[in-house]
Amino acid sequence: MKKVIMGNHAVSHAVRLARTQVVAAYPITPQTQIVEELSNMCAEGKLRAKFIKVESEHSAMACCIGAAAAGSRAFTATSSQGLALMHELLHWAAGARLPVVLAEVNRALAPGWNIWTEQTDSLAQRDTGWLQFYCTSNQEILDSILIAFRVAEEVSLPAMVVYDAFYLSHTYEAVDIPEQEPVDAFLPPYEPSVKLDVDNPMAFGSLTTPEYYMEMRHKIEEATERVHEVLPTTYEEFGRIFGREYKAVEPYRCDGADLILATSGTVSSTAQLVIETLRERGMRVGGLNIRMFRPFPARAVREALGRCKKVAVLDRNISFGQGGIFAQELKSALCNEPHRPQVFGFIAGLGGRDITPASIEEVILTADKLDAPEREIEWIGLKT
Amino acid sequence: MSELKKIIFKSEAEMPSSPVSRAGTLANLTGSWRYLRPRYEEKLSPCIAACPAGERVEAWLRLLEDERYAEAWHLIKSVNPFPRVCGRVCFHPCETECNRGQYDRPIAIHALERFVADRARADDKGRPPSARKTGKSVGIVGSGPAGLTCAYHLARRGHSVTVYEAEAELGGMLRYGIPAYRLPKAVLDEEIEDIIMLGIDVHTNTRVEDIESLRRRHAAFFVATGFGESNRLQIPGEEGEGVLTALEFLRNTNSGCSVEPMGRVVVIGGGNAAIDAARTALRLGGHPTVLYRRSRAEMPAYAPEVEEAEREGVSVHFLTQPVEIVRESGRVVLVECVLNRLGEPDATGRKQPIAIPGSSSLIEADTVIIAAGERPGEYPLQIGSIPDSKAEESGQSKHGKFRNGIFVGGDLTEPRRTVAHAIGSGRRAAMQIDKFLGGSGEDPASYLDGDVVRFESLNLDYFPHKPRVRLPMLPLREREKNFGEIGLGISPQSAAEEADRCFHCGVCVACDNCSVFCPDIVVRKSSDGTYSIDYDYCKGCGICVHECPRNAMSIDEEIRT
Amino acid sequence: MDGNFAFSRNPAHTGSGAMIEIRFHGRGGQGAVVAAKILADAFFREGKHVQSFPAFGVERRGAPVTAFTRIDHAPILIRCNIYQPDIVVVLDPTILNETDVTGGLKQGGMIILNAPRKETGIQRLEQFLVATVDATAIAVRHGLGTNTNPIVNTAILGSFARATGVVGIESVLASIREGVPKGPEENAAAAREAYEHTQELTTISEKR
Repeated sequence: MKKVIMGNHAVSHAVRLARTQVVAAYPITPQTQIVEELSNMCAEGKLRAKFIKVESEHSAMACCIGAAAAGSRAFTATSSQGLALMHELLHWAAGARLPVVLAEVNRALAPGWNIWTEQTDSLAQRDTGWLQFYCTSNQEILDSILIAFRVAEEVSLPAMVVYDAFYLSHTYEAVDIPEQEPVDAFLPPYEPSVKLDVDNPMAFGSLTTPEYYMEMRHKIEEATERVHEVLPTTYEEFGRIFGREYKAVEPYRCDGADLILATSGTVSSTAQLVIETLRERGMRVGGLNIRMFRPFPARAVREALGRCKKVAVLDRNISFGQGGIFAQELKSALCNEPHRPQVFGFIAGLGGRDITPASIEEVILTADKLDAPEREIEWIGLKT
Repeated sequence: MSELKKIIFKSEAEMPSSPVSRAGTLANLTGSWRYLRPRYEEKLSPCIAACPAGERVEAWLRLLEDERYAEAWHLIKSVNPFPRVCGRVCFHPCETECNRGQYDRPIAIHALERFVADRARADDKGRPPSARKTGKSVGIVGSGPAGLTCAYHLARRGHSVTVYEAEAELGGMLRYGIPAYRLPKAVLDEEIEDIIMLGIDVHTNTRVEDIESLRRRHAAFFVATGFGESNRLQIPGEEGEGVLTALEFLRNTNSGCSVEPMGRVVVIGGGNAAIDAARTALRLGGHPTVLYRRSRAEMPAYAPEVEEAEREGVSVHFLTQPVEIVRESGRVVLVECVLNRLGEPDATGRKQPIAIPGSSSLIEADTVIIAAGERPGEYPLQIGSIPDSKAEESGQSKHGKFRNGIFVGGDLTEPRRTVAHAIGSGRRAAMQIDKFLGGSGEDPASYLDGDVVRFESLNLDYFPHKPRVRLPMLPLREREKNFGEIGLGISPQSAAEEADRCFHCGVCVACDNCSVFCPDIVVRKSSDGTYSIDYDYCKGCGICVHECPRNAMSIDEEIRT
Repeated sequence: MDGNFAFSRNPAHTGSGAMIEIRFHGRGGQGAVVAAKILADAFFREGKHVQSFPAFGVERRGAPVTAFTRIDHAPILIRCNIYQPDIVVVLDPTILNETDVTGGLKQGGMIILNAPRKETGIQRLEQFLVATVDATAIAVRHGLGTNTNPIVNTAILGSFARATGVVGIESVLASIREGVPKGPEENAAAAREAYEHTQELTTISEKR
């Protein structure tokens, strides 16, 4: 059934449909309505989950780890400072191979105190071992949560579904909320091979000496790489059941493009409009939406960008001293290619500053007119 | 318990995806990591160690906290037959040693003892436990606190006991030495009655002249005749009318003999007898002045009693030494004194008084009371209780001396001559006699051995500061010319609150801290409220010992073979 | 659809072409954000693609609040604020003195104004189409909010349907019944009354 709902409630519906068994979260703007709605659903009996009130995000993740270790499907949601506080336990969830799913509403980190969107909070967690998916619409949020549970449980790794504060979290648009039955068919109950059981006590996360630790890490890497195989078939199955197609990397009008704009999140959505307009003006420009950030879909990126001359990367995030994080990842994916394009890195929209069609156009035109990048980072819309 | 099996992975493929031990953790006996071994070890509370009568103070305070009054009373009575007396007159060294005194103020133990005993007496006279008769008879010479305590314990063990008392009534110094405003006679009578009810044969007005003559009647003897003679000052004018000793004066007052009009009373001495005499004189309408040859700091009298005496109107002159009692027509009129300064400490550790030349002064007096200390006199020797004339030898043994079944105790043997010391002496003597007569001699105060808990070894984080109970006292104006009891006792609520302040030093009260804080969950509590440690898994971190508020646990180096 | 009003006579607004962008001005507590969402829902009932969102910020009761709604025949890809709206809805007349409600409003754009009576401030709006309704009185009449703080958001939506003609009043009423936290019938009745009592300012019309 299609309904006009906000992005945060799209998450709540997905968590309900996933028959999540444990929800533990601490409120933070702009994530709050996700958990409020889940709390309502639990109270009304629409979701039969254990709803654990906690005193911090650190504890929220600790609860999810415990719940997942005991074999439950566990969910939490947070933003910004809350995610930063979880950092230690993000590592733990991945190291313990627990498929916790987290909805992360991108919000800039303080100070200056800011509740608006920016991706640095989630991208700063890139080395924790979590899968990361970035969304462009409310529909995609709902679908991504279901897919995240499925993939996470398949490879025994936690997954983060990431989307922009306000541009999606507080924005109402029509979302097709699936019926329970097809969701159950897509997402069977979580049944781990090993779980915490009071009748059969086991040690979890015990001491692992140098003799074995490295192999454990290697296993995590192997599981992460396996997502490249698991995800396409999962997307395919999802498409068959629900009629919506997704890819880890989505090219838009890239055929014959000299210049491709790489984006993520809601900027990818607005960028399509701009690319359409510029194409109408005769410019050979295409777009690339990077939906999956971890594992980084390097092969798909190389395939999409291999034949163009220039790539402009618009990052709504920054790694101080090295520029936009998506730009870095793209460069790293391309650096061993024999015919690699020039990569232009742009920073825009930090701390929720609006990224309008005009600013996207400026990015494309700037990259178009230069033969090679003049500097590592081009700032868009900076007050000078 | 399964054997710990070392698992070796030859390849990554053999390894699990995350560090999970499928075998469970019980096989991993983490106790083998232990270098230190915690254990439950109760220690001696300082109040118990300090109690001359041997009372298990901490334990009865705990019963009082739970309002288990009868049990508290029975616990005290298992050691001390005189809790109502002690609650009033003991100078409570238990409070001096109470660790709480270093934190805020000590527990008011004496007030609680009085509360428990008064209340129990009011509730129930307490049925004496019936012991099997042994058929052995013991003669006790002297009915002071030592003699009566000894009689009490022996009777409870089934021995036949006969008490010989020279005076008309039982009690010794309790009756004849302590004024009624500190110890009402009815209270004393009732506690003595409880002892006599055990079936004790009493011979008052009976002065034993020779123990050997009683040999046929008794298999053993306990001699506790106290210090019956008073020291004199050896100054001119001391002999004759108008001068008497504190013991004589207190005895006359306490036995109801008429006392002459008092007028100006000069009491000479700095001990408790001097203060008792002065305050008694005050109540008889006299105007007492106490002369003491050293300063306040050296005064042997119990300081709070001195302060009370001064509040009541007794004046105390320090560094003042009488040199002559001046008489006119035989009547005492003046006491001539010199002023002292203090010199180097003498053998007792007190600073020596040295007369200041030319410092003579005169104090007007109608009566002079000499309180210059007491001594045992010749009586114990005369009746044959001490084998030779070296009386000081009697002070060397804590447990009483015996020869052919003759045991000596009380003031005759105790290093400090207090009621509580006498009670303790009587109890220990009773145990010796019991053993001598073929009994077990097992001391009901056997807990007295052990390490005393020091203040520094407590974990004070668990004890909020709380004020000590206020002890109500008779207003000054109501004390004039009467011997009404000054201490008024406390309410049940105050008693419970005061008992609740007790740290219970060294004693487990099942607070669960060890169990709560154990990071390895190896502390188990059994249904009787005691704990045990599963050493198979205890890593010896010592948190339980640290978090024990009251040092009822110890930790030692693990000894491995 | 009611054809009496100037906005709906303009084929640019009622045809199948352009996106319609709507901006709401109100004060915290009047329900501007909910109005934007209910309006989006009403269009959604009529098969349109919709997007509705508040101006992202920290909200306080009584402080000026802005909310947006986008309507299109095609999927809405643009995800940024609205800078050049086609229609502005003003829930609180006093806000005219604090906020430039016409900022960015397209030439020939429309303003729907809660105006208890003729306000002098309206003079500034004369290059636009202006429709007014006494939404405050209507809200009070239907017991919405309190007399001092009436909740006017549903009444103004009735007026929106009448003045713009781009959405049916029945769709609006259905969305109101489903979208308000309480009193669905009272809110629907207020919207209908506002629908019936909306006026296009004749002075403006004459000028055009």
